Amino acid sequence: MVSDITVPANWMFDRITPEEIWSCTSCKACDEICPVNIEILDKILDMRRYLSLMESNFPTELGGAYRAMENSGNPWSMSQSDRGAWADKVPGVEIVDPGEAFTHEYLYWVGCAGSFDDKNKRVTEATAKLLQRAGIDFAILGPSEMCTGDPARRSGNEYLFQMLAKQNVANLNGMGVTKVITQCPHCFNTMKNEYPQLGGNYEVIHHSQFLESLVSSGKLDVSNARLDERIVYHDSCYLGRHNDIYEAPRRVIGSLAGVEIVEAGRNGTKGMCCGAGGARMWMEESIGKKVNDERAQELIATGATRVATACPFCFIMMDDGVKAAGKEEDEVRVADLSMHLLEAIERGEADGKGAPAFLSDVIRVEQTELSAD
Amino acid sequence: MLPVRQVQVAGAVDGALRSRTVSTLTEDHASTEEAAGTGTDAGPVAPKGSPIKAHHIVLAVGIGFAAVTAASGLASAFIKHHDDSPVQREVFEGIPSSFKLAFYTLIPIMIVYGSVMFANRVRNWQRGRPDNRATTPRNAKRRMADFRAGVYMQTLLREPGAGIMHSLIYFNFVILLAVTTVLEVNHQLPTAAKFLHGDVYRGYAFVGDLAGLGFMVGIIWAIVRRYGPRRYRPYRIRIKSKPEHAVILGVFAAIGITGFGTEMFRIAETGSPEFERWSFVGYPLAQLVDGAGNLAGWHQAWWVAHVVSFMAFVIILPTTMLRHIFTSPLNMYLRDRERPKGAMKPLPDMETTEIEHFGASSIEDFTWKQLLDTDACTMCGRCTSVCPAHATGKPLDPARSC
Repeated sequence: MVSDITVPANWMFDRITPEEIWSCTSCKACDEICPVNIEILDKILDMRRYLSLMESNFPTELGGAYRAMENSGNPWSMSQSDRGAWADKVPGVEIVDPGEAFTHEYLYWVGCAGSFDDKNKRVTEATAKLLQRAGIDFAILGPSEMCTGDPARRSGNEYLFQMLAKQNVANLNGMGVTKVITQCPHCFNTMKNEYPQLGGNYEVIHHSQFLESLVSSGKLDVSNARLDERIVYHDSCYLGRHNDIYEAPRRVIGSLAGVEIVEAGRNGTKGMCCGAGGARMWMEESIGKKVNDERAQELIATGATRVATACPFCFIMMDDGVKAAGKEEDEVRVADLSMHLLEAIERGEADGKGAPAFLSDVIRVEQTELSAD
Repeated sequence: MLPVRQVQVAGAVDGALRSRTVSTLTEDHASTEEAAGTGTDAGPVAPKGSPIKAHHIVLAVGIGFAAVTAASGLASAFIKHHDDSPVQREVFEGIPSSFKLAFYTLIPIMIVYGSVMFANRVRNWQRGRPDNRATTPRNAKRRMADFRAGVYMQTLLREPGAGIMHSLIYFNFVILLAVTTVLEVNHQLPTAAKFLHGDVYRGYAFVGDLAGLGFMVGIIWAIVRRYGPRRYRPYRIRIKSKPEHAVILGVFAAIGITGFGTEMFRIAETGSPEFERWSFVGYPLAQLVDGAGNLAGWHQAWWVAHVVSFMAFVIILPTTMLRHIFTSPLNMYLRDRERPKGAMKPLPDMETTEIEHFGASSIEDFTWKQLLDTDACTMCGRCTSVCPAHATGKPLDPARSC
C-alpha cells in the first residue's frame, strides 16, 4: 500500500543532486518539447526554492549576487547612483523621480545589465536613440530602478525577490506608470507575468516588439537603412519559450535591406539557451563544456557574419562564446538587434539618401519553421 | 487570458496603492495556508471535502467494466440466440465451456485488479498539495482541445517517426478492441437483431485484419526504434530504455501474434470457408496449416495464449508506463490555463506568512498535478535531449525529475 512507504524528509536529493538542480538554466526547452505537457521546470524551481529557502544550499558565487541585490539593488554590486550614467551620452533622456507622478507615455525599464554592463550599455544607448528617432515620449527611473528580482526568484530566493519586486511595484504604482518598455527579456517576463502576483499590472513591451511596431508603422524610417550582412538571430529563452515571441525580433532584422537572415539548427521553440538564464549568469560553470561555447559554435557554423541577440545575458554569453571560438569582431560580430538596426539606419544616412536597392538585394529570409504551436 | 490573481487585484483597486499590494499578498497567503491545512483532501476530481475521492471513481469504473463483462458471460450461458447465416462466425467456436467459464471469471477479476492498481496510483497523486485545475466555462474549450491533441497524438506527430508508430499501435488497438466488442454485442443480440453476417461480416473480417496488420507494423516499428540497429534508435531512446519497455512491447507483440494465430487455426478448423478470404491475413495463414492434424487443439492453445497475453496487458496497464494511455491525455487536459507560461508559482508574502516550509524536498511537497505529471511521463527522453545542461555534460537530466 502506498501509505506504508516511509522515506526520509528530503530523500529526493539522494536521487537528484543539488548540482543537477543548480545546472538548470530555466530555459524551458523541456516543458516546450514534452508531448504530454509535463511541467518539468516547475519541479526544478520548487526544488531550488527548498534548497535556497530551507537549507541555504546554493552555490557560493550566488551568495555574492544575493548580497549585491539586497544592498545595492543590482546583482553586480554597482553603485545605484550610476544607474542612469549612460544617459549622459544620449542627450534628452529624462530621469524621473519615483516621488512624482509619471507624465510620460512610456517608462523605459533599462535593467541592471543595460545600466551597468559595458557591452549592454551600448544596447541601451542604441535603443534610446531609436526611441528618440521615432519621437517616443519616454523616461527612465535611473537610480530608483532596482533589479526586478528575476535572478533571486529563479534561484529560489523568494525573500529577496519579494523585497525587490515589492519596492519596484510600489514605485511604479505610486507614479502611475502604465506602459513599460524593457530590453531585457528577464525584466520583461518578471514585470509582465509575475508582478501581477504582487499587484503590479502594466502593459509591458519588449524592445524587439516595440521596434517592430515602430518599423512597421513607419515611425522609425528604415527606407534607407542598409546592412550587407548575413545575420543569425539567437532566440532568447525568456522571450521565446516563456512568452512565445519568436517573430518580432526576426522581423526587425528582416526589415533591413541587404540583410540575409539565416537560422541555426536549433531555433524557435527548440532554440538553444545561452547558458545564463535562471541566475546561471552569477554561477560558475565548471562541469563539462560551457553552454555558451556550444551555442556560439552552432551560430558560427551557419556562416553568419553577425549574431543578433535580444537579451543582455545572451549578448554577453554569445559575445564571449564567439570570441572563445577564435572569431574576431570583424569576422563575426555579436550585438543586440537594436544595435544592428541603429547601425543600418546611420549607415544608410551616411551613404547618401535614397540609393535604390537592387533586386538581388531583396532580403532572403530563410526562416525554418518555428513550429510555434 | 488574465491570470486569476489579476482579477482579484482589479477588485481591490479602490484602496490605496500600497494597501493594494498588501491585500493581494494577503490573499495569496490565506489561500496557501488554507491549502497547507487541507493537506491531501483536494483530489484531482473530487471537490474539496467530498467523501468521494478520485481513486474511488477509478475503482467504480473498473468494477463497472468487470460487472458488464461478467454479466455478458452469464447471459451467454442462459440465452442462446443462434444466427444460421452461412457467412458469419461463432463466438467461442471450438472453445470448451470450461475455458469459457474461466474466461468470464478471470477477465472480470483482472479488470478489478487493474483498477485497484490504477486507483493506487491515483491515491499517490492525492498525497500531493492542492492545485486548482478546475474546468471553468472560460477554459473548457481549451481544455477539450488539449485533450483532443492528446488522444489524436497531435503533439507526438511533431516527430513523425514517433507519431506514426504511436498512431499505428493506438488507433489499431482501439479498433481491435471495438472489433471484439462488436462480436460480443452481436453474440448477445436476439437472432432477429443479429447483424454480423453476410457482407457486414466480410467487411468486419477485413477491418479486423487490417487493424491487426497495422498494429503489428506499429509494434515492429516500435521494437526497431528501441532495440534495432543503432541508426534507427534516437539518442533519447537509447539513454532512456528500461526493462519495462521490453515487457510492454513483448506483451503487445504477443497480443498481435496470438490474435493472428488464433484466427489462422479457427479459419482452418472451420474448413477455410470462401467468405473468410476477406480475412486477408488470417486466410492465407490458414492455408499453411489446412489439413494438419488436431486443428481444434491448436486453436484452443492459441486462444488461451491470446487471452493470457490480454490478461498480461491488463496487469501491465496500471503498473508500467503503459498507464500513459490514460494519464497523458488527462495531464494534457489539466494543463495550466490560468498562470502565464513565464510566471513561477506565487508564494505567500514572505514577511508575514506563518508557513515555514517552502519548495519541494519530498513527494508531499509537490501538488497532486505534479505527481500526476510523473505518471504521465513515459521516459521518452525528449526533455533530456533538448536540455542545454545535459548537452554540455552537466549532471542535469530533466526526465529524472519525473
